[in-house]
Amino acid sequence: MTASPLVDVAQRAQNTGNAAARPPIPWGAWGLRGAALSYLGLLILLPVLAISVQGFRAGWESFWTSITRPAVLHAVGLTLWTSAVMTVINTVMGVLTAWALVNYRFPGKRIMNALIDLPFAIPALVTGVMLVLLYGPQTAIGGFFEKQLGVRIIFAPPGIVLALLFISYPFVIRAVQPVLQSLEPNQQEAAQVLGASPWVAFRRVILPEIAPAVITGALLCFARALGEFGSIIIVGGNLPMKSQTAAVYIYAQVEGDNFQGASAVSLVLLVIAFSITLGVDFLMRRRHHA
Amino acid sequence: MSILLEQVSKGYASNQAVVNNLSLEIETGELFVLLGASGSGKSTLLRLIAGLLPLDKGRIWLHGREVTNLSPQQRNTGFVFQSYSLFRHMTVAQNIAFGLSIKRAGRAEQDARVKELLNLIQMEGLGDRMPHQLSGGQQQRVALARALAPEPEVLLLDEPFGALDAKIRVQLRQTLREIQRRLHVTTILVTHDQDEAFELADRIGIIEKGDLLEIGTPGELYRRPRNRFTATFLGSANLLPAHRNSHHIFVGEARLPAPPDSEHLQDQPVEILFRPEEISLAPTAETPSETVIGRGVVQEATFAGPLERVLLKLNRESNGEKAQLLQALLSPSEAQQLGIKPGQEVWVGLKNYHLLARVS
Repeated sequence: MTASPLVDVAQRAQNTGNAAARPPIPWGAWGLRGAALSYLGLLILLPVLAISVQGFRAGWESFWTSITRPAVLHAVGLTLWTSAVMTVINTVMGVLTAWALVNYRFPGKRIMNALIDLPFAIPALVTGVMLVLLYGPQTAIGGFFEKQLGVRIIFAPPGIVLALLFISYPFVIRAVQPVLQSLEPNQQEAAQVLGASPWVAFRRVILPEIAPAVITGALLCFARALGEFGSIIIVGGNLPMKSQTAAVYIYAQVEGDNFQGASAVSLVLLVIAFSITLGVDFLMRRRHHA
Repeated sequence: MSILLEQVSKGYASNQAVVNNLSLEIETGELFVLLGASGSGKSTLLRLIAGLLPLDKGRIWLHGREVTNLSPQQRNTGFVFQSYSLFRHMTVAQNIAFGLSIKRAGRAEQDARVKELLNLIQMEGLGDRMPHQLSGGQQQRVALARALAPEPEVLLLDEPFGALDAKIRVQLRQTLREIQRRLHVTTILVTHDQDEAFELADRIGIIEKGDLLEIGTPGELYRRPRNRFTATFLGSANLLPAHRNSHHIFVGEARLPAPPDSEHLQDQPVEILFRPEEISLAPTAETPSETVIGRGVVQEATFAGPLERVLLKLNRESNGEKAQLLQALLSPSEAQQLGIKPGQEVWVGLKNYHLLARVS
């Protein structure tokens, strides 16, 4: 406390009569905290509460029936595996891309760096339309895959993975890039002079440093993919037991006025997404404490 | 011969040579200092030797083995970077053992070697610390131990003390010198700091714009440089145009005996080099007349630690040449005796001098 004695005297004069001079209540600070908490409550917790009430309205049993229907199990399964495949691919490619951007100079690097965030700016529906135009069965590429290789892309899981790859592209890159930049210079070189091959140097020296960022980026990718709707409704269509993901299933239930079913499946997605958020939070904490 | 470079060249995309057709031989156990300003190509040369950069032309041998086209991990060198570059997620001991673990040395061997090196760098018992718990000086000592652990044939140090405080830098120089002497490992140290070069080097190589200008012991390069850049880069230098005939040097009106090692410069345009501490000042012309080069006026006198720094304007009465500024260093007692103050007239004599070929 470095308050001047004069102020002290003035305060004491004001408080004459009070047995003990109490510090004034910091209304501003409490007000800010209160505002932040109410905002979170109104915006996030209230809707979650609403959907929980709706999901369990008819009791635990009908909740369980709602989420164990074959169409639901298939939709949730499809969502999880397409998201997982995408996450693996985007994690590997994201680390590679971040590495290239940080360590090499090449023509077009600045433009490339700017383009990486493009998927965030493009509306998901537009993404879907672009992919249909490129890989649809009537196009050269789509036709080739379907006729020569017997692989259907659009209105099938491969199209869903493609859409997810596109929309989640920036996450790993943007999580890993700043960590790579903040690494002390010459780490890779120091390891190589000590006898490590470039790959061993990366695995033993660079990877442990960037691992928390890689995992954070991957989890964000996965969480983003779980709820994706706009691009998938175009690319995958809405074929139950075929290309219907959980989000699309929920949409179909809302369309059919089955709010209880929609809420129950939504809760499943919510629980998965929330676990991931907690995981990311835990990793971030560990990174800051390290 | 431990390190042999033969006509090594390296340029970057801009097509300007960073290292220019450079040849160099370094003896086993020698501590060789490459001294140059930033951008002179000295760090590039070190990276070429370590294999961290590919060279454009030339060949490199380490201990008789040609390594020109080998990758860094095949060259068996130790490298210490200015930025320490310790592995942050590893303990001190793991950092030091890294090279051995890559070579799949046994656990016991690694532990023994780590202990030995911690002892060598006077950091016994700190093996379990993380790098961020260490001071800069300690980190750099660990980096040195890490480089030495796999017993490299050649130790390469790139401005190793550049990021440290002046005091720690001086301590670490002594540590390095001791360790280098004890292990007898052939070493190249790159620096822009001439004090560091003087203190550490068996020999110094002066590098400028990718050319190795001159090689010699610190004393040789300071007292008898062959090159004007060397003369001015190492310490302060006073240089005056002069002429030499068979026995004498003529500096303006003054005539001085020619130094014996300058016969090859007879009847050529030369410059006379003398260091600030080689100037003596006298109130009258009665100091030994041979060495007097003229009269000067004191411009300023400043405190410079153990010595006084005096800036003089040399009045060369003849030829109508421009007055020359000279730097002199005097002991405080000398300065007091003369009562040095700005505006004072003094006679300027030389205790020692050296001749350089003048390049026009």
